[in-house]
Amino acid sequence: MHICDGILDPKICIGGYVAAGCLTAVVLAKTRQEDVPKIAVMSAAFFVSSLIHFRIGFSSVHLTFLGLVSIILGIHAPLAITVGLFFQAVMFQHGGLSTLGVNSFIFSTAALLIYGLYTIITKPVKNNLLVSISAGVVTVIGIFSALAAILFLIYFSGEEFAGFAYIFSVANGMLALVEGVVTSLAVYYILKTKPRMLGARHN
Amino acid sequence: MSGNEMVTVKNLSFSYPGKDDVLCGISLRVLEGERVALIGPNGAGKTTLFLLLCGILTPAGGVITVKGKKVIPDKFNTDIAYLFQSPEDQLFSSTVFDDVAFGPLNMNLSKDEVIERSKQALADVNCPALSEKPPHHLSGGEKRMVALATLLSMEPAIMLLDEPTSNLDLKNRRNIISILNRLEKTIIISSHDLEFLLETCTRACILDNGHIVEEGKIKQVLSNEELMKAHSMEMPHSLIPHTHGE
Amino acid sequence: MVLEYQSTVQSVVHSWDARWKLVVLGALIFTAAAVQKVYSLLLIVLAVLILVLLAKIPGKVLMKSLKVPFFFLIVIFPVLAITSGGERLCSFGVISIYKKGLITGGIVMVRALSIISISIIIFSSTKLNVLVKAMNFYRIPATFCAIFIFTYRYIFLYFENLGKLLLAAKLRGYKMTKGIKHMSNTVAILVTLLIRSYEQSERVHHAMQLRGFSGAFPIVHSFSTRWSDVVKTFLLFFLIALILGIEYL
Repeated sequence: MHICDGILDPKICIGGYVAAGCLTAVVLAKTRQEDVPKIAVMSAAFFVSSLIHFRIGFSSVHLTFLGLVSIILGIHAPLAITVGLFFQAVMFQHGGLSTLGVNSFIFSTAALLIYGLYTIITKPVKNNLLVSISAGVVTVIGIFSALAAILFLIYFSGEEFAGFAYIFSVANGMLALVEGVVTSLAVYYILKTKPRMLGARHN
Repeated sequence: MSGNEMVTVKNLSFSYPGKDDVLCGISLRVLEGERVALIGPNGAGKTTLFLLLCGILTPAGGVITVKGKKVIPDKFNTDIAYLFQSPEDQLFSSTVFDDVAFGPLNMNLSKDEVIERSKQALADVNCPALSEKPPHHLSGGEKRMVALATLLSMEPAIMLLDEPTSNLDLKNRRNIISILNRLEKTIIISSHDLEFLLETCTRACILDNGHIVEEGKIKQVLSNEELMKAHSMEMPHSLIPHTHGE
Repeated sequence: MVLEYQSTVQSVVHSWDARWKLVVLGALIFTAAAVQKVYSLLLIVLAVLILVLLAKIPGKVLMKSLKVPFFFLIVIFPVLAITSGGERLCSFGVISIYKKGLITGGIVMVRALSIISISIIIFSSTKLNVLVKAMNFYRIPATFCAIFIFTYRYIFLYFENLGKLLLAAKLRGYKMTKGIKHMSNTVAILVTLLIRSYEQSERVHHAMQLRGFSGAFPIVHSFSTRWSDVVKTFLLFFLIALILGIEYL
């Protein structure tokens, strides 16, 4: 779902780096020394997990696990996302380096939105099944919001990209629904096996 | 052995949140230069004891002193170093040299001293050629040696080794034995490899159900068949009396 | 293909002071993202090819690294060609091929492959810890750099762990099939990896604390700029200025 190199206007790319830099700086200010291994280790685990195939129809897809990253890491998710996107671009040439700032900012804000909605919606909920379903729903909302931002930027880069933007949105819209289902299943399993991963209130 | 107390544990108790006591008022004394084997069945509390000695965990009761000073939890103490059961937990840098240099760099040593110590540590474990390799390019045995080097570069007075020979082939196991026997340090080793302990340690403590149930000279402890069986262990093969022709 | 630093190679790019290499090749990346004119694009491609040769990157390695993005771009190209609108070149029934789409598709492909090639040059010629030291030099916070280094290390470990988990599952009948059951099994494998990683992160934190970690990741490397580094940096900046001049003047 990332925007690859070569499509976006360079001014947008630079703006993306500035925005991502500011957001990262704010999150870093709230990051303690003891959070570093957890963020790094989870960032690596998510990076590797995103290489797992899920068979959908006639093809297989790779997911971003944005919902899970957000729910597990909370406000630190932007750091894991930025580092994860960087290594995806450099080690596997997925996504882009010139567009790293834009991708990072969009996914990071979507992650914070997912985490915020998840925290609010699940606060009064005790039932694991309802918590899992809520996790899936907020993931879909977050990913759709990221998709909307990406589409806006693609349109902004030139009217010749309109057709590509339409196909991109249909493909990734379906992917968002799959992400929601996978996030729900994963959260359900985690609540049964290691609820502490999802925050102290799930203990 | 000069007789200085390097590690003193008095009435130490600890339990994990929501669980029964793991350690119940244990006491232990380790003198300078001693090699102590800590043995016991799985879940006895050996790793927990090590984590308490390093200050990673905070005791519920009792006192721990290292080199005469009370252990302060979460304080960086260069006198004591711990080799984790899994080297993957211990190797976190992008190259072997960086991993070995990590500890000395945090000790505010000069750059030259850091480099010298790191090179020496790698030489001590016979792995100078691995210096520029990333940890994920190493074999299991090499990772274990490098993990040991990461402790040696800090030149601690006391070393705690948790299952140092697990998953090692015979050659690497022999390597570890000869390295440990060359070192002039106070060492406490937790291991199920009793033959290894016989070659490297002089004293043994049996830890079971949160208590130290026996302490003494290693051959004496390990050759007590009834004692070993009572604590879910077996005598090491080399101490089992064999009659000629069996 | 996983890209890693090639420690056995020595070249003018490998020996370039990482601080200046990062800035000037970073500027080249953004320049490549900005250009649209034919001559500018040609100069970018030429610069990239020269750098690849100077960095002694084997052609096979470069081709393998470009394979995945190439196949992705090859999909974008026809989409742009048939949806961009503007001057029509030809039609096949309801499908028309537009000139603007072909040109835009071509520009996107050249830009993207150039940028990816430059990133391959940077990361195969610079050790990660040196790169992080350069980031420190540019005042990127130490905590962020620490996360960087640790993430790199554990990516490889988790590849291995995931491989073992999938193998163990396959030996017990797990198959890549459709449907909710497959998805459920795959999620279970994934969650196992995540839980193990989470538990490992606690042990890693302890290991770091015991070796004095206080938020920053110390690195032994020292930078030293030579005259050859100044010349390389200046030449490349001159080229970038030339390309931008052609593009915008």
